[in-house]
Amino acid sequence: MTAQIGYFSLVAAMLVGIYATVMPIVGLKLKRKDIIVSGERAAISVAGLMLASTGALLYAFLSRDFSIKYVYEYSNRALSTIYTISSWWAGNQGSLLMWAVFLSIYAAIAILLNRHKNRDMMPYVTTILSALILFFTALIVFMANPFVKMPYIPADGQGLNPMLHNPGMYMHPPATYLGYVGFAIPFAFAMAALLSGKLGDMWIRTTRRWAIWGWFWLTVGNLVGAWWAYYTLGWGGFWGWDPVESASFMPWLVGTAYLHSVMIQEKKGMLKIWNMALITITFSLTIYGTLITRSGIINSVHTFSQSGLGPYLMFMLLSVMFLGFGLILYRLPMLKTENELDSIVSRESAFLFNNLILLGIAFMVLWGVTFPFISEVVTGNKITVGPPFYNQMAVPLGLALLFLMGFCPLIAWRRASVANLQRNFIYPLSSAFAGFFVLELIGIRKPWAIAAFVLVIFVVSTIILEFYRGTKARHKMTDEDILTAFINLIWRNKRRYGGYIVHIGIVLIFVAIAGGPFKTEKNVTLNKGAATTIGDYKIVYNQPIQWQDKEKTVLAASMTVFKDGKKETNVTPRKELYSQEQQPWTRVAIKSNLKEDLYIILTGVEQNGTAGFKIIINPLMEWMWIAGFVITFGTIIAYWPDPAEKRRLAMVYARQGALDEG
Amino acid sequence: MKAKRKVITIFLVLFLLATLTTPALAVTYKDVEGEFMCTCGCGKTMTACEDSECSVKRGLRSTVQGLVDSGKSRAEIIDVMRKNYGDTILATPIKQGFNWVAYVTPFLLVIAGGIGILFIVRGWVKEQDDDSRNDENSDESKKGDKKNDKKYSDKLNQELDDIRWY
Repeated sequence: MTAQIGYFSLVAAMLVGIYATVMPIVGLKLKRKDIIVSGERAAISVAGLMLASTGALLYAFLSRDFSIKYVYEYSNRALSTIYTISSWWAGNQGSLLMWAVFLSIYAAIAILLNRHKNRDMMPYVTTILSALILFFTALIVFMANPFVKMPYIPADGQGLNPMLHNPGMYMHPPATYLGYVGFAIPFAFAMAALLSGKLGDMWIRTTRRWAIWGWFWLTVGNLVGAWWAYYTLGWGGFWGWDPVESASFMPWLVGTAYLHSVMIQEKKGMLKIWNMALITITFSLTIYGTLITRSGIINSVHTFSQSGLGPYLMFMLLSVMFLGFGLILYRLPMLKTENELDSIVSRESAFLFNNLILLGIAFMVLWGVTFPFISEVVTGNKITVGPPFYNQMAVPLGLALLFLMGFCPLIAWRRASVANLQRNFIYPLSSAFAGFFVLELIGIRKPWAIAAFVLVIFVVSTIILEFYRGTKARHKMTDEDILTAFINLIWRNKRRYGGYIVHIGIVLIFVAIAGGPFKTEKNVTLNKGAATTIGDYKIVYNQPIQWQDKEKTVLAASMTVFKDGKKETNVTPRKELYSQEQQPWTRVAIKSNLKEDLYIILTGVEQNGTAGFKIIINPLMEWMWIAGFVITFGTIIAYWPDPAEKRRLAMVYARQGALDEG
Repeated sequence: MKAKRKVITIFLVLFLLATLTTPALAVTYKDVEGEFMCTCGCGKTMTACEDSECSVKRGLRSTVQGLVDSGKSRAEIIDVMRKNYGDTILATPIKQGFNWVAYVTPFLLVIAGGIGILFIVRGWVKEQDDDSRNDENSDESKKGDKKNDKKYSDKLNQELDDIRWY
């Protein structure tokens, strides 16, 4: 019964989706508002049907309904409730359903929020979003149905892949999908603006929060993915330049460029074509990410088995690009703006360079993924483009980006005078030079790491300076005490200062990455009670321990960590053998502090209790995860509703309404 | 101004000296393992593929360790591995022939893009200058008080400097 409810909800969503796709355009052509509204209501009800289908799947998982093949393949009775829920997105069918259900909910929210606004654009928005949902729903119904029944009812399921038994599983896939799908809304509004000819900045203002939302979840998805990969042995560390990692990094880069360049359009009405192109590329890249995960063309830890969806997703990718760039070309004369700047040295041009570097990195990644195919076609020679290539190429571009992150906030809009530059740069540059001397004194000799740390100091100084100057000015103007002035400064300019806090988070990621070259490691074999030292640590191997639970047998090494002669903690690196797997899974033990991570891998245990270990010190890694919290905090501030912005937007809507009526 | 330049030059020289004087050491296994992909099909470098979980990696490791122990240089080790396993063993395309395209293209595009932006922005600034000159030549503008214009323009710039973006 559950399978029937789930499947028929999907089929109903597909049929109602056809109505939701067609009717808004029909209503527009016939100038019938009631038909448009009917189409919008249909789109909202698609979300309800998709939720019903998802609810049915979750119920099937939780009630251990192994008569459904997907439930049988991705769960078993021993699986805890939280991992049973996460089995929803463990396979191709379920994760595709997640894509579609998120998109349908977003579409419903966007339609509800705009039922009295942007009425010229909304029929197009509804049609585009409904068409996207329809595509994914049709894929699920015809190609990836998660409700297919088993020919018999098995007593138990096959269980969840042991690699997915990690807290990262709760967060990484849903966050990444929330991000991917989040960019669908700005894309739909951009296309609606092009179709309706409303080419001002209204579509940008309306979707600003959606773009931040998408960007934020993509950031969280990538960071949680990095955390998961770091804690799971064999995934190449926190960032292995796996093709699918790259596929979610590219829309993040282009989306970041978009978030910056729309500010220029909002402020000066410039870069209309560029912003349309950026959102088209960003959304296309989210489809590209979905394509390479499911097409089987690339071998990756993320890929689902050959699903046969490749050609369909390729069709969708090409359709999105064709629609986006086709409409841009069609509206080109209307998109041309009168661009004017007072000086080459201005924040506008700095933002353009920031866009260039972000797109340069995105291109480099795409180039790395595709170059082996190009090389084989041109030379007939198969080659590999692996992580060292990306690292080599990304370092100079990443440093250039870091520099611009410090440079941009310091130069004025329109024209930066020499006095302005001197006044703004003297302290950050002095701090950077002072930092360089300190690095010299403590004996840091890795050129790229030095450059990264110096630039980190430069950027942080510029941000501190911005906060300091703003607080000081506010304190003088309003007689507020320093703390109140500081809080009000942020609260009254949420977007700007939230953005700076996000920048601090990004800088912290650079700090963690710059620690990489200072990694140390050793391989040791220890008898029971023996000790080894690495860095400031002494690690004693006490004894092997073994236990068993419902799902697995665990073989662990009990170890005590001492630092500077004092006991720090006990750790148990381990190997886990799951009942349905032949190969044991290695779980690392990590002891973290702000300076470094002690990372211990149990490589093997002999009959006599002697054990082999790989012990690594990863400097500054903790900053990577702290960055996630800082970015979250900054995004919440930038996202928080701003009454002043609301008033401004209401005025624009009122003016637009008056113009339309007039 | 001259003093400033001297200070900057000293900083740059110190920076270069500090970064270029890393002593050359004999090649270790750790130095070269990241140059090679594991051939087990995992798609990872030898650094990322874990010994304890991959017998293919253990075999490759002993081969590379043997080459390191025989005193070969980094380039010689890469050469031997390439001859034995083909180009796909290398984690990065070797810098020769068509492979240069892989390394050069992204930077060329960024440089070209940078030059393009400079030209475009210069065009915008020039258009603005031309427009301003036309405005100045018009009768209406001539009537205006140039001193006042300058004052307001300075004030506007100052305010834009201070307010920047909200």
